[in-house]
Amino acid sequence: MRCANVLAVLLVITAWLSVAYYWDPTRIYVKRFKADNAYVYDEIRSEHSAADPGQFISITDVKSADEARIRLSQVIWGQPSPPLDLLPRIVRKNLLENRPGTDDCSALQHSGNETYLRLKCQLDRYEDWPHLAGVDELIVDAGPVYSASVAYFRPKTPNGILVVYQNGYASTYHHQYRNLERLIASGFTVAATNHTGYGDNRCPRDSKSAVWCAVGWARYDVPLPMRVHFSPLVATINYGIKESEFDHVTMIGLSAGGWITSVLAAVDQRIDFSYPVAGFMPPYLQREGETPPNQTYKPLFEAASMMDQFVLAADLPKRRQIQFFNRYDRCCYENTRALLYEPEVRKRVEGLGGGVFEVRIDETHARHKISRWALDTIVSDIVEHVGK
Amino acid sequence: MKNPRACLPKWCWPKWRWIALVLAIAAVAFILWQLDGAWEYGAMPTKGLFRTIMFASGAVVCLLIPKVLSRLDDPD
Repeated sequence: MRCANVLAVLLVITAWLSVAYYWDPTRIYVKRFKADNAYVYDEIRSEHSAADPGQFISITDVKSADEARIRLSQVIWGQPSPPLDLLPRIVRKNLLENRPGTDDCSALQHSGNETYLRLKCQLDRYEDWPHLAGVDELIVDAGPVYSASVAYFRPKTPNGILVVYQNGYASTYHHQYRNLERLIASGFTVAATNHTGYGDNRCPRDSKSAVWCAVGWARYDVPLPMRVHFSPLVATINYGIKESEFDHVTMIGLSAGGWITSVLAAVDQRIDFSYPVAGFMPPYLQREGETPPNQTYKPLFEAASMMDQFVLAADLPKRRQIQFFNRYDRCCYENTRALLYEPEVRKRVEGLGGGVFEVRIDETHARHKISRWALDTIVSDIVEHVGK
Repeated sequence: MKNPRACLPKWCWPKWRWIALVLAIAAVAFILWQLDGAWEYGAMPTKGLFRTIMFASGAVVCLLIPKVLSRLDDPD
């Protein structure tokens, strides 16, 4: 009896500790307490603060910016500009009304792997959204045998702004459903896609397309491998502009999707506002093991350094890039390191007569995610600066 | 009649107070989960809610076991 009582009391205490461990505001203290040293979340290493970020930026004027953009485009597509005529090969309209067959959904669901989630199997999740008019699926060829799927969410009262959402590793955009719902409720048309190898973009290992999916894991055995990441997004923007004549195109990306957002904003000037979240760190500020597989294609960074790409993303007066980093991120790019390069990039952007470049540090949680605060900031930023 | 008590060394409370405490924490976890969208990426993730409720349920069961056992021992 006494044993059960003692166990009960310990479980009560554990339940309280569990809330402290999982709830964002208290989790921050748990994570700080567990950090190996002060440099994880709080202090900046002296070699980082002493480095001059300006040495990693080669863009000095409009001419050098244009040349860098052409070089990037050459590396990605083998041509001097993005393929503005590329359109989805297939457009499946109104999936909520014209439901595709879902015979294989049950097997996928029982596989236990959440990264296999497919759009046709997740439609129940979206059908009750009050502000959603419909969902279309765009199938875009990004290589001879590889196609990507993009979910195209149409709001009932569109505000003339297209938001392209790129997810990263280890989950799918379906896991971001609350964030997508909030964007749609604000009137944005949202085109969401997964990282190569996830959800509908998965390539079975024995398929011909597997070698294309391997690009996402740093195996570059196909011609122009970076197409895999960027062609589906360019085709989506082409399609969106053709269908609806949007006033603005914006892009949000999480994690590896944040890096894709940053590069695409650098190379495609149609993206007015871009918001990468916890997606990268310039090599000189990286800690050990912080380079994800999709950021290892050297020709891309030889064409333009990561920080050159930041400058390119805000090179016109109407363009803005706000980068978000989670200070207590459990995964990567934590601390306030990114603030070290912000002034230099901003100075270069101003030198080009460009728009706005900012770094914001999210201190509201200790996870690898887009927080409510971050999404609120993004939505307010878009709404505030539309038409300016 | 004296209240049944649950104790840690030098720290005894009536059982009803422990049960109230554990129900309160389950309620707090549920409300936090609901307030930020009731999803995995909210301020209280679904996983955290499940874990908390699991510990709370365990505590309630342990608190009630002696009572159940005593009834089984003495059905009259």
